[in-house]
Amino acid sequence: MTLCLGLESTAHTFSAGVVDDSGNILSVVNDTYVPQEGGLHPLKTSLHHVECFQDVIRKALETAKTPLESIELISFSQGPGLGPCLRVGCTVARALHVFLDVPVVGVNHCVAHIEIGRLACKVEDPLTLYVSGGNTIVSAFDCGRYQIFGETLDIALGNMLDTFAREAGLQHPGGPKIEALARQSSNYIDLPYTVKGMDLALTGLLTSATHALKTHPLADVAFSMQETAFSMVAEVTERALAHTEKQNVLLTGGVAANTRLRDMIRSISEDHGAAFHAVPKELAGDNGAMIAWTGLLQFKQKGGLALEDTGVIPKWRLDQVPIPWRT
Amino acid sequence: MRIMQNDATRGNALPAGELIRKGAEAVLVKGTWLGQEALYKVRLPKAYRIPQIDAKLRIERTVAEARILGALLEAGIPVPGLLDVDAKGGIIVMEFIHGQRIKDMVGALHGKLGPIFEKVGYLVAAIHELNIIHGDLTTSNIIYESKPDSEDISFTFIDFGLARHTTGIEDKSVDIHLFKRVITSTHASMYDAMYPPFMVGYKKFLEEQGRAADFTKISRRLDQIETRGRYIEKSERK
Repeated sequence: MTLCLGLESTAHTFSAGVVDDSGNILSVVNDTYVPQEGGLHPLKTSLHHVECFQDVIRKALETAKTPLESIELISFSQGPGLGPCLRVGCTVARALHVFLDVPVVGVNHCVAHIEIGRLACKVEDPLTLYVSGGNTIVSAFDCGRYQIFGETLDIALGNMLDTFAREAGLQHPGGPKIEALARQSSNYIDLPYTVKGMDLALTGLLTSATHALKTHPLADVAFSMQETAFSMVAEVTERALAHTEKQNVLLTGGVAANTRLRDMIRSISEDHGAAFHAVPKELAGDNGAMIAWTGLLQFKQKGGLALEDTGVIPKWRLDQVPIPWRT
Repeated sequence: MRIMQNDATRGNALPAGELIRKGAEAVLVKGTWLGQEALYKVRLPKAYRIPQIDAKLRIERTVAEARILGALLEAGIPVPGLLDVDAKGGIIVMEFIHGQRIKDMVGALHGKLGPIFEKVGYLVAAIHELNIIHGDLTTSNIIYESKPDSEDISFTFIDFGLARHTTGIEDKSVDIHLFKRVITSTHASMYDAMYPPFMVGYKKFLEEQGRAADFTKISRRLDQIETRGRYIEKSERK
């Protein structure tokens, strides 16, 4: 049995997880940076990670009842993400690699979201909708890769929700507050709906919704923006589902916690006779367990990285990564 | 002219006939219209979205698609003939096309993908010439009508649900870019037999119009669009 320690630090969360090679998740411990004001400043966020990483890793090992010495593989998020944040996880991984003299692997954060979803929901070949603060991707496995069937052409869904929340004076995290406000309204304000083929664009919607705040009650705008954005995401997912004819749909990422979005994606899945799976909340957001599990899959096929190949890749597309553990 | 055989086809009920395909956007039913075979494209209400968004999208898209089909027919592009439109019901009645989606015939057409995709490219250029983009060019949206072993190459473009009028080089290039993406994601191993011939055909049309310069503009824009995507290495950016 191989025990892997996974380190996640692409954005606001520093997380460590311990997973074994049978897919048992022994621990996940997170520490999330919440800015006092404004959005995520990459440097400030990375300083948060520097301060908390020791505690997070110690807690993850304690919860897993695993001494550091029994860790046989180190895995870290190599990208995509915020450079300074990625470098914290990378540096810690390198240090542990040298200190423990065990192999290290760097994994793609988006691949990890899909792999932990496949593991947690016990689903072999899903169409995946991955919606978070940094990514909005509809993807399915084909020809050795997680091909992208649709994605945002500008900002991510979670980014739109967070930015709107800030403009509306709501405290971070904005998503749950917008969801709660939206539930209080059913007055729809006409907002731009932008779907291009299988891709979507969200900045126009964000700008219009922000302007609408001046003339409409907050709850109405929150409701209308959420309905419009989620309808767009649901439509591109449905288009990809009709095109790929997959039998399973997997919803993951931080925004997957939203009940309204879950209902919409469940509805389109049922319409096409596909089973709907939502990744459990603790594994849907950024977490170290997904990095550990993907690291194990990757290590089995390709082995570890040489130290000089462990540099971070802040802009690393999901569809650039070969997936040799699937056929 | 507004003739419907049966008023029950208005509103949300499906017209009588055989369910052909349930797409993402609409349901296709093979029925009859004034005694002839016809395809009913019905944009059924989507339960997942609120009625305000649902009605807006269905009506807008039904009307837009019918108008565009009309314009393409007039120009002689191979698209299904338009028989009737019911905007509020989200229904377009059109000529029934016999054949198979190119997506499902890639194996059978193996040896002649080159000439087929060259013709596809040629006709897509002709569509763009009318300042219309398809908006959802995929190998599912081209119905191949000839026998796979026949010399003849004939097909029909379908599903203009996301098509629109535009004069912009950007929109036309995005149309091509999306088609390339579909080939890369769905037919990755056949890429060389599909995309390069497609571009040859596209270029040929423009050259015949004496506008080879426009092709240069389009291909330059295509390169730009590709490097514009998320997470493209800086070194690859122009």
